[in-house]
Order: sequence, then C-alpha cells, then structure tokens
Amino acid sequence: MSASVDVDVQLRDVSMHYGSAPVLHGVDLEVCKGEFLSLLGPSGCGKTTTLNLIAGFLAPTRGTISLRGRVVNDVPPYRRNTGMVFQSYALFPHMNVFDNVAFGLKIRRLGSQEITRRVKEALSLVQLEGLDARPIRQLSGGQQQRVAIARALAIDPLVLLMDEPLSNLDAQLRRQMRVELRRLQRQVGITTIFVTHDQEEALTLSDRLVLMNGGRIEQVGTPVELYRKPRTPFVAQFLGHPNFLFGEVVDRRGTKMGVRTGQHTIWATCPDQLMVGAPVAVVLRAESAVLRPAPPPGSENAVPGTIDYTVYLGTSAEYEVRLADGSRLRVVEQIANGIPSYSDGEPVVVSWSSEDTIVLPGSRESMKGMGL
Amino acid sequence: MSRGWRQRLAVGGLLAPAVVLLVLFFVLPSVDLFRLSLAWMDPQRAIHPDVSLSNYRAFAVNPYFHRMVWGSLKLTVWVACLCLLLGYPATYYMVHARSTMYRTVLYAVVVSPLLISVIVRSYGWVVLLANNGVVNGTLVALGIVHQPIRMLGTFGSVVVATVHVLLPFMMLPIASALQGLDPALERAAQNLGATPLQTFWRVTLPLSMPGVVAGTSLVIALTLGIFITPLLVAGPLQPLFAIGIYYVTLSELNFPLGAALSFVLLVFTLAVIGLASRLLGLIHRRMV
Repeated sequence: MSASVDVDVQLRDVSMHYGSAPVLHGVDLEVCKGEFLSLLGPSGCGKTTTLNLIAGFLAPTRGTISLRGRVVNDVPPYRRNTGMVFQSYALFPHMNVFDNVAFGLKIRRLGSQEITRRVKEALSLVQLEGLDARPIRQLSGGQQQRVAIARALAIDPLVLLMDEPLSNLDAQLRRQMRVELRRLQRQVGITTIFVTHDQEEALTLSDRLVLMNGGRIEQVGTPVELYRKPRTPFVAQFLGHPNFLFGEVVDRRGTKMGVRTGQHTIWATCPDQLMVGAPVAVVLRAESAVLRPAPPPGSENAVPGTIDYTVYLGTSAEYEVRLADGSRLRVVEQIANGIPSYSDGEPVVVSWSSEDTIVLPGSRESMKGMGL
Repeated sequence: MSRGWRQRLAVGGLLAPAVVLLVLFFVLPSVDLFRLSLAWMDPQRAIHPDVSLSNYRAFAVNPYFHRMVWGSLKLTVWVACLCLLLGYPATYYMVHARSTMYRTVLYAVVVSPLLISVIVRSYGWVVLLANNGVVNGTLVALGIVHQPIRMLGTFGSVVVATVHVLLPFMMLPIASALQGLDPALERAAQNLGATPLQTFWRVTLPLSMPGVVAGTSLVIALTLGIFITPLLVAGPLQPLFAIGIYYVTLSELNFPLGAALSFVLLVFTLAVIGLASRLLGLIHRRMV
C-alpha cells in the first residue's frame, strides 16, 4: 500500500524508548479509512504506547506518524483531532453528561445551538437520549462507557482511539457492548484503532488485527488470516492456545510434507521454504481434530492414544489425550446430546487432515517463555 | 441484635474516643472560658463572677481592639492569598514530578518546616531581616542601599514570616486533591482540543478546588490565631488579635476580658472561613 488518500493513519518505522528502555521497535502500520483495526498482544507489548503515540501523548524516538497524509510528529495532542476512549473512561466528574460530551465542542467555540445539536446526535448514537443532565457519578459502568464514546465522537475526529475500553465491564455487558460497538463503528464509518489484550474481542470486532509482541508487530491480517495462517509460533499460540508438537521435516511429496515428531509422522500441506531436516513446530487446533475408537479409513493423520482426563463443558467436551510417546494433545468435541462420547482411560485415535495442520519454523527451545 | 443496632454500636464505638477527647479538652474548657468572659474585673483586679456583657462592650467601644481586628483581617487576606498563589503552582509542580525519588524529596522539603519548632523558624526570620541581618548585610555589601532598611517590626515582615510558617498547610491539602485526580482526565481534555492552559482552568483547577478550600480554611484559622511569629518579628505592639489577647491576659492580667476577646476571635475566625469558602465556592461554580 502506498500513502494514498484512503490511509487515515500511518506509522513509518516508529521506535520509542522510555529512558534507555526500548518499548517499540520500528513499527510500520497503515490504517485505512473506515477500518476497524485492533492492536492485540500481551501486556507490555507496546500496543498502548502505539495508541498514545498516535494521540500525541508520547513522542516517538524515531520514525514518523501521519494522520490523513500529514506528518504530525510535532503537532501537540490538542491539535491532532483524534478521539480517545480511555480505559478508565476519564469522564470529567465535575460535569454532567451534556457538558462532558460538549467539552470538545465548547473548546472549538461552536455556537450553542450547534453544540446542543451535536451533543444530542452523539448521545442518540450511543442510545443515551434524555440523560443530558445526569451527573457522571450517577451513571452505571456501561453508561459511562457510552458517554466516553459519545464525547470522543462528538468532535468528529479523524480517528477513534480506544484503549481497552471494555475491560472495566462485567462479562455479560462486555459481550453486549462488543456487538454495539461494531454496529456503531459501521454506522458512523469512523476509522478506529482498538487496543485490547483479549483475543476474543479482537477477533469479533476487527476488520484487521495487529498482533504485537515485545514492541514489534508479529503479524497483521484479517482475523481469519491470523487464525488460519499464523506466520509465527507466537501468533499461533496467542490466538486460541492450540496444540504444539515439535519435530523436523523428513519428507516432501508434491504439496504435502511429512514431519517426524516423537514416534509419529504428521502430514501437512506444504508451506513455502521448509527443507527436509528443518526443525519445525506443528500447530494443531483442538477443534480441528476428531476422536475415533479406531483409525478412520483414508485419514491422513491418525495417532493412537488414551484419554487422560476430560473437561466437560455441556455443549462440548475437551479431552486431554496422551500419545504413545508421552506427548499430549487437547481435542475439543462438540456434543449434541450433552453426553461425552469417551471416558477417562479409554483408548482412542486422534485424526485430522493435512489442511488443518500448520507447520512453522521453530524448535521447542526457541519457544521457551511463551507459556506453552 | 439486629443489624441496624450493631451498625449504630460500631459507629458509636469508632466515634467515642474522639468525642470524649473533644468534650474533655475543648468543649468543657470552652464553656468555662465563656463563663469567665461574662465575669467582671474591678480596678483592684478582683474578679466578680457576674453575668454581664461588660467585656464584650469594652471590645465594641475600644478603638485599639478595632485596629487589632482590622490588622488581623489584613494579615489574613495577605497570607491566604500569598500562600495560595505561591503554594498552588509549587504543589502542581511537585505532584507532577516524573521521578518518584524527586517527588519524595520535594515532599520532604515541604513537610520539613513542620518538624522544626515555630519559634526557631520565626527567629530565623529575625536573623534574616534584622538591621544587621543577612538581607541588609548583603544589600549594603552589594552597594544596592547605603543604610540598612528597616524590615523587622514592619507589617511586611509579619506577612513574609507567617506565609513561610503556614505554607505547608496550604500545600498539603492541595497536593492530596491533585494526587487523587486520574491522570487520564488531563489527557482526555487535551485529546478533546484543550490547550494545557485550558485544561488547567477547566479540569485540573475545578477538580482540585476541595483541596484549595481546605488549605485556605486552615491557613485562615492559623493566621487569625498566630501569635509567636508576629511577636518575634514585629514585637508586641503590632495590632493583631492574638497579640492583643496575649497582652490583655498576661500583662494586664484581665482574664475575663481576655476570655471575651478569645470568644470574639473564635466567632470571627468561623465567619471569615465561612466567607472565604463561599467566595471560593462561587468562583468554583463560575469555572464549571
């Protein structure tokens, strides 16, 4: 992508140090007009720093930040026209709902009729009509959240920046707000950058998501791309906690390759440049495999084992299967009638197709400290 | 026992020590003092436990006492305003200091005067401001003035020394108010387009007003009652309420009149604090 008119936010080779501690290394990022982009990653990965750099609360040590094609490195936060929703909402406690939403408009010295019109409009967007005069203290967490969004939208910003806005809500409300946030963003069509550490949130909300780790971008793509085709073991691990098996490439046949792990050879569709002998990590999602009492005919991968224990979840069951060589696989089975098909200690065969097998370069040693 | 009862008992238990202390050492002596203020001293210095308003009448008609009230009021306005103007920016800077270490040092500097006796601190000002003191010595040595300026004993010296003694009482409540603010609030204001100055006027200052009101009330109460500091830097002739009470009580030994003056001061102090709070409250509402 080049710097076309459709790019609202652009970061080019942006690095950031706090004192001598580096927190961001050469981040390149482009956010298109109307896009909902999530910055996802564990705490300390640099996602909030990135957001603060765009808002102007921090200055990059190196690199340029542009909003609508204009470099804003030297523009102070109050001239950037970004709309930020803070994790703590940061609503002004000495003002009521109306004055909070009107704050940015009063600063811009708009006429009082114009202010009233735009505040009403913003409040109706977040479905808080009629609460204008309510003091902030008398609002529930969910209502405060909506006021914070209305306040940010009222100034008609270039980009909406959200810093873990749902993390202070209870689980049920969070799910509800997630749906509403998406509807709202589509309706307004505003470019949105959303910071979260919650993979489910990122997967459900985003057009594209950026997975960050240790101050670098690991991978950028649509939720499906990142989930189906992770480029690094970190991405695979962070999205969905799949099974990892380690081994080396022993065979290549056309579009398929064989990987030797322990006593088994696992077949996968061939990724690019992996040569025979390369150390690899085999990623298998718990929901991609099925359990059978005997090897199903025509199955590409069928590994025998015994059920070690079962986590019963009502609509599904999660089995931990111990293979003959001692390694373990988690397999999730959807159960229609609420009765798990297998019990602990039962011998089973785990089988899956080569298409569902992801092979990535990497060894067990290189993935230490990733919580595997 | 019902829950309501247990709760009431707990509240009572928690309040009891403070209430007992306050009644024993403040309310009862105050009642006694008030009774004394209604007594009457004859020219032979014999005290008659009458019930008369003669002492209050004396206060009402004696111009010396009026000058004293006016002097104390003037001092209070000067000291409260200077403490606020000097204390607020310094406190803001202190609270916003980046490094924790540096912030701790600043706090220690602010609190440290409270660890030293007020007499020592006031004598410090005598040493500084005397005709042969440090300030005059420096001015003369630099050739800025030819003769020492008389500083000690002036109203200005009382203001300066009192501000110095009372500044921590303004800064600490403001610091606690500023510290309680979510730092995201200032960022939110700037994000919405407010310049740092607008952010200060519209968000930071209004939200720290409770600290300003608390600090100002403390400084007013302490200034109206201050006694040692003006006595040391300006002598016993300075027309101030507390010095007047000291003079009447310990030089003239007119305890009933001293008691009456103390009561007038108490009421006056409450009135000034009430007025100042109202004023700050009005300013606060205008800001919001």
